[in-house]
Amino acid sequence: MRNAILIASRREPLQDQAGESSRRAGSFAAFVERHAAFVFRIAHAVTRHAQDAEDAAQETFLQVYRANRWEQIEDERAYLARVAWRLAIRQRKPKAREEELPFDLDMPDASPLDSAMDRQLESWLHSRIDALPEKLRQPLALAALGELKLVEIAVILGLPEGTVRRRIHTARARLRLEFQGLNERQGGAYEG
Amino acid sequence: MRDDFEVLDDPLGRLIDRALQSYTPRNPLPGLEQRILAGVATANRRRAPWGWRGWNSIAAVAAAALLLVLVAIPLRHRLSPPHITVASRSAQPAEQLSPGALTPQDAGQHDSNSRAKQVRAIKLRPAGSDSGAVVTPRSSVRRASTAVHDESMAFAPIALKPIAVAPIEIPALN
Repeated sequence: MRNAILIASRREPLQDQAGESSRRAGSFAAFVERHAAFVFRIAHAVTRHAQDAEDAAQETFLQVYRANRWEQIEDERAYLARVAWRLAIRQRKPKAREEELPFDLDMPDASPLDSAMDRQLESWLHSRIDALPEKLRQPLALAALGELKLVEIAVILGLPEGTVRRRIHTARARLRLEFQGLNERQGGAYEG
Repeated sequence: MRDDFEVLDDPLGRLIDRALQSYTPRNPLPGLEQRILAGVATANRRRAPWGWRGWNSIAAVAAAALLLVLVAIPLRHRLSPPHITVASRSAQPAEQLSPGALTPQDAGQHDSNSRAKQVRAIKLRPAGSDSGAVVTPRSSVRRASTAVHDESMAFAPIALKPIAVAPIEIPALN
């Protein structure tokens, strides 16, 4: 009986340790499950490359795991967004000289082609967004996710809310100007 | 996005909105969570090949070695033979001082009757040899140590050289 108690008391800490370890592993897996896609989107908004974004997402979760405090984070999304954004900036390759995509607005008005033109127009706009200076592109890309409020974007970027608002406005205004320039070059083909 | 930011609600504004919505993919490739978890596990293994148990055992060995050193040093000092110092020594060799002179090995055996031997040594000493500087060792241990000390002294004789001193001549006195 005494031996049994001794053995039991020796095993208990090990069992507790194993139990705690598996509980934490489960908790971390759930944490990753909850936020992986969001972190990936944040990283992709910065890197514009799926593999780089995935690497940044992985690095984000690795950092959180090593810091060993995913259970104590108050605002998980804001925290992860900030870490992911910082790591993605590091991951982002130096911007190559952006080439303006050839685009022809003068297309027939047939409806099946409308969507094709829209797609072409969208990818042209994407190339123009990519060509924006980073200080304008990043707030715009984060806002484009549609998942973050202005104040959250400001926290992620470490900027005042007013600055973020102004930069997003400037970025959109530039895109407008570029598109209007293109439209004029094409003889005002796009009517909207 | 439109709730938070002022945008112009015109065809161009809507077009930009659409382009922005498709700027980042809505969903990553399937299996991202598993890939992340696997990556985290791999990176963690690669980072700490020893693991906490390995480092703990190294720390335990180091602590044990330190403890051993701390215990062994004072113990070594305690076990080393005491250094015997002889306060006084005889002018004569130890063999002559006492006929029953002892070697250090004998000292232990004869310690019990050392008093009797000391008395015998005093009786055997020739008359007149008892000068003030000579002190007879009182115990066999002391005698033994004195003998050892005298032997070591015998190996290193001091050679005294005569010093030639010239007579002082004072002319005024002559």
